[in-house]
Amino acid sequence: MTFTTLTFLIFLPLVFAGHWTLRGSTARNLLLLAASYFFYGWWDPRFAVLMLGASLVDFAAGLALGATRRPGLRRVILLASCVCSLGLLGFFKYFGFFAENAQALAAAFGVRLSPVTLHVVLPVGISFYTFQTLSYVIDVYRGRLEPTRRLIEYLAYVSFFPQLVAGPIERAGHLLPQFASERRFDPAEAVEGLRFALWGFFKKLALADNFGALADATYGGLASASGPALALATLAFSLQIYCDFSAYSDIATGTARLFGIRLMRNFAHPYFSQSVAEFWRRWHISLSSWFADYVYVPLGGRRATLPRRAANVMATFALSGLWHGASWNFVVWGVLNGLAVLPETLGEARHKGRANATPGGEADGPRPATLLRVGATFAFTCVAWVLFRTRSLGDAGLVFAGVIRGPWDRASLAAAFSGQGLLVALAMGLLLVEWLTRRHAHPLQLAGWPRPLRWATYTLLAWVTLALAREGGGPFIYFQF
Amino acid sequence: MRGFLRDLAVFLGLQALVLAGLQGFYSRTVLGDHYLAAWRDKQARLASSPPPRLLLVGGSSLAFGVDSQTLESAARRPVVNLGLHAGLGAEFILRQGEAAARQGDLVVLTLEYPLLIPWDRGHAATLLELLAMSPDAARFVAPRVLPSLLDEGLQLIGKRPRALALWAGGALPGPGEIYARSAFDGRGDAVGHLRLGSSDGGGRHGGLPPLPEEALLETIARLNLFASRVRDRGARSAFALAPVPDDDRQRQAARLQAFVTLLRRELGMPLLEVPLSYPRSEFFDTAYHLTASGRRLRTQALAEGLRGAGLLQPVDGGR
Repeated sequence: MTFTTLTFLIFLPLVFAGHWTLRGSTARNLLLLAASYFFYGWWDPRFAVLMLGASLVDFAAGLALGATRRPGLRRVILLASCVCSLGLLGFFKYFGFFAENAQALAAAFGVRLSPVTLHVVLPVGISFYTFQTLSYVIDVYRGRLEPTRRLIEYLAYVSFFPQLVAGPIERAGHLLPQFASERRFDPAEAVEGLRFALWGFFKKLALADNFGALADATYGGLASASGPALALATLAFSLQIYCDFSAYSDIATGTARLFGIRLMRNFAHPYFSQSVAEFWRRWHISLSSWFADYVYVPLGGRRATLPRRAANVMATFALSGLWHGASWNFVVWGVLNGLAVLPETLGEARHKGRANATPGGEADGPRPATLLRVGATFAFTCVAWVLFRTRSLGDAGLVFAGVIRGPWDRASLAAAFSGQGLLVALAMGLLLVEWLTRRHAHPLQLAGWPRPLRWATYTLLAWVTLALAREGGGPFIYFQF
Repeated sequence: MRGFLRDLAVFLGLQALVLAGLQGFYSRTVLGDHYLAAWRDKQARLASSPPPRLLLVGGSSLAFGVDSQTLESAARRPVVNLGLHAGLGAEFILRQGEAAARQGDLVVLTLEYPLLIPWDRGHAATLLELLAMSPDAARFVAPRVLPSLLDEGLQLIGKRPRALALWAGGALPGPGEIYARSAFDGRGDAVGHLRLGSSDGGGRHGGLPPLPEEALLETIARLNLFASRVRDRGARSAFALAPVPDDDRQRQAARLQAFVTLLRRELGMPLLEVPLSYPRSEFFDTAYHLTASGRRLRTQALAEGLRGAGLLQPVDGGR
């Protein structure tokens, strides 16, 4: 089930009503669990069976880790759990990629391997829930988390429908205690949740899908597109992916709050970052911190020597790229980002003082130097998104070559922008609103406004969202990961 | 909780008022002469025409491809052309046809080729728009279609404010001359395009999807169920393939021939011997919609096909 459907808007109030009508956390968790499996099974009931199997394996691994203190046995249990989780992910997501590359590699050495083709359907959200169960087992292994014996709570944690399909990737240490506690209805939290969700709906339906249509139209015919058209389409994709993915997180956060559950923040105005390293502290925060905790730190983290630290950063980013998709484009995208964060990561002590809680700086208007850094970071991000958006490195090369080739004359620019007035206005509006509200989690925190004005704003936003929604608007981009 | 629910109810009530206002505007400006609003007229014609009748059941290939008046003269019984839109889906069209049949009726079924896919669910947005105009059409909606209707429901609501925004910007298109309720005649034929020639040669024809034989057999089984239900109501049925441009037929000759062979072997109702394809110049704007001369050719062929199948004997009490 997708958030931006009438199905979800009927499903959600029913689950909400059921949840707060029931008494006791066990009954409520059971309802959330059933609702989450229904939500997930709406795509394909087989996906739900797969998720249940994966969850049970790691639940058992957690219990087994809790039952023994023998280091050797604990390592075996951890390894078995990792093999199961990563094996599942590898089979469903990377089988084709690895088979294809093994074949190409063998061919390079003159060995002919017969092609192995399996038509494997990628279960939606498998990368997200697999990482949640992995982190649970690793945290139990590290002794940072007591293994839970409550199966319902654990299954509800893995499958919690607001964040199941595209995150935030929650840690058991953050979410499990919330399922274990008695949740009390807080009207202010619920209202805040609805505001979060409304802003998310606007970003997805009114912005992301419209930016995406422009990007799709140009990226669908790379060979014939002019340089300005390719640049505009890349810009549109940069806005699309931000609006799309952060919208999902906003709706997830808002929906979870309706049930008294707080999810971690996943986006913090990333496009106002002043460096690529800062960008990664503000973009898909739950994934960045996951890779930091479970890949970068175990590899040695900041304690390692400088060359080793550089290698660790590159390995972490390459893996992060591969997590996004089974294609060399994503690997190169990850490596490119790794290279860009290296200077700041290696000289972290020097840059620590410049860390700023407010994206883009405290000043109301950005200073020229800040503007320059934000602009440079955004430009780099856009270049990297080309790798993310195209299907092959060859296509990415076509985009780069096309942008360089131009022609950058008035006629080509006019042709590229022709008929895009609404999109330009939406992009400018988004930029302005995000800048003005960058100290808040979302722009609809209008507590100081009189109620009629607030309600008029919500009403207007809701209907503008529906009016701008494209027929057959695409699914959330991160569903494919 | 009570305060929250009260506020939420008031807020949602406000939104319902806004929706009602938008719906009123949309009904006045868009729905009045909407193409799908012709469904009501066809149902009214169905209700007011006493059996025995000749019922044409299918999508727009019938609406844009048959001259019902000529067919009426040949059949000597009233013709009701129920063909409207393939996007309504095979199941909707078949259920509607089954329910329409009465004692003595003759039902000619023509499904556009994508509707032969057994798991076809139609086009949710089209079905939703019809349901918004004619809620009584819900009785023909198959349960398996409901999830996709729910998933697309928001898009349907979105058409209302979008129409208002277009109207405010002076960009709301007026009623069309071809795809409009007023472009149908009293028998249910689309006639708005007849004075026009072939506009773009009919475009490419998707034709018969490449389906395994088991899938086609599944579809034929459903067609046979249709025939059996029609028979149970005391009516007879026949099947006619939808028209294809000549060049498209040649492109998929083997696939189409295999399907025709399968139909001859498995279909539980007569397969009318009508030409499968016509010159591309006989098609109007899509590869299912015929021009005036193409429509004439197909109507004659249908009449001959019905005669050839022994289905056009004089009817007692017929007109």
